[in-house]
Amino acid sequence: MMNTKKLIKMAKKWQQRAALHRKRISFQRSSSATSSTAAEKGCFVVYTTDSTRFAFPLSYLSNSVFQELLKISEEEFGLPTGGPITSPFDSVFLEYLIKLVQRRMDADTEKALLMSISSARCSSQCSLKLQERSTQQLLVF
Amino acid sequence: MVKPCWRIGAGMERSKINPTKVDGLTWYKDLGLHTFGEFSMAMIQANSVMEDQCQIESGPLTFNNPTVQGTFVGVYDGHGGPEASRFIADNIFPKLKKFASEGREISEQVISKAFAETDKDFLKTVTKQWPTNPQMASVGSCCLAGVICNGLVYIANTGDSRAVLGRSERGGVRAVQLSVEHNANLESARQELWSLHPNDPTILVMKHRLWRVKGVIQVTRSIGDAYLKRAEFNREPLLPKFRLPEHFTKPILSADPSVTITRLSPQDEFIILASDGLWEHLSNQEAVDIVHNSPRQGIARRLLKAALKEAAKKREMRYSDLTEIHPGVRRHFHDDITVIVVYLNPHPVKTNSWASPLSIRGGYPMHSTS
Repeated sequence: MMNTKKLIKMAKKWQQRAALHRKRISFQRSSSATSSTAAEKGCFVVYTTDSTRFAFPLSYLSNSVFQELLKISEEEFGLPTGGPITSPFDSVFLEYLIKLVQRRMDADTEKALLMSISSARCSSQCSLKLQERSTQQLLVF
Repeated sequence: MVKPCWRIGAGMERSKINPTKVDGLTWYKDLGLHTFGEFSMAMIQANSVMEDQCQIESGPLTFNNPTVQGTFVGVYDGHGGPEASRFIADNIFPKLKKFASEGREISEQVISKAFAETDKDFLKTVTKQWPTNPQMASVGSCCLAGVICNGLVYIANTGDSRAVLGRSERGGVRAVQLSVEHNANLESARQELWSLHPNDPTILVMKHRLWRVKGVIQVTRSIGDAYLKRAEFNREPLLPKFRLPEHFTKPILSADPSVTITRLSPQDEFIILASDGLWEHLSNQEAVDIVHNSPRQGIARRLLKAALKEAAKKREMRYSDLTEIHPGVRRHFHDDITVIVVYLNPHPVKTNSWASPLSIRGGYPMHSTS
């Protein structure tokens, strides 16, 4: 069994790693204004604070990390009324989350990750600025 | 005991042909018969527990005057849990009948009294459950009720559900809104609250780009929400996340309905009554156009589908994918939706005798997850 202290330590480590990734990962941007709202089959869409569009398979909705993500989005922005879902994180952080989810974590890792998400949200709050929606697109499978 | 079977009325026969059905998260009755014509009902669940409730009652509206016949329609959009909307569905119609029997007729006062007593009794339940189940104090519901009787339609509304009349006009149909709504994002509702609470600078707060009463709730009137009506419920053991930080003396929300009375004309084709989950995606005119231009059979489900298609478009996804999403997480894509379409015949269905009494409660059985 893991204790809370150890979990927090793990969470911190991940955040540091995420910060490292932030410097390395760059996104493919489509050059022209495309039909970015075309719906991909079997997917739901989440935008990030830096206006990147992510299309996830519907099965991600039953993942507890994603459910937490939606909950945080609701707390942060309220339920979306006239448009798509926006996550209170940037694309780098979301990209990192996806990688962890794809690796199929064990229960302890997942617990630590959920804690990490919550703390990351606190630090991201001050730098939250909704920018104009760009044409960046990202499909995750 | 042998039950008489030779007096099955038109309503009963119709119920057999078109029973109420459940298909996944959708509950529906495609077509039925009320005192003054046909009706269609449909509901869809988005929350982990369905918070919307609805009912249609047709037949005598008093216990002592058989000539007062009519149709009662209720749409109850709950929040914070299903208890308040279920309580209304169980109680408001018997109360309406009780008050109508006292004066042997339907009136605006009778309907308003039924609303007031339903709210009062729900708050009594909250008091009773306070030691063991304090979160009942944070449960509430909108309440939209329509009564069609004697050529008049009474629409009583507490909250932000909506009733819209479809009136035929030059080959088409015009939407006439019959309900007055109480939502902080309407200027009239804000003015009312500001004038009632002139010394409270935080009575209305903008949060997540929407106006909310005390920063917590969009509706400015409701049934239930005891913690916003009586200070005695705005304290422990109610969890802090459901409480207001400051003490109040005057009730913040009221249960008073806004009532409109409209004399029906031969041009009046139908009334759509629906929770805000529908009106979030369809305009009044779009909704009446769909009803006017489509077959009656399954019209409520058709409206539901039109709203869901719009919801899918806003979330940049396909309608077929939206329908795959499980309740609970589905609330991020759309709200619980209830829609009832009541067609209006200029003459009662049977001229020589009344149609069989009818009582349908929407939403049972419904999916539930913990």
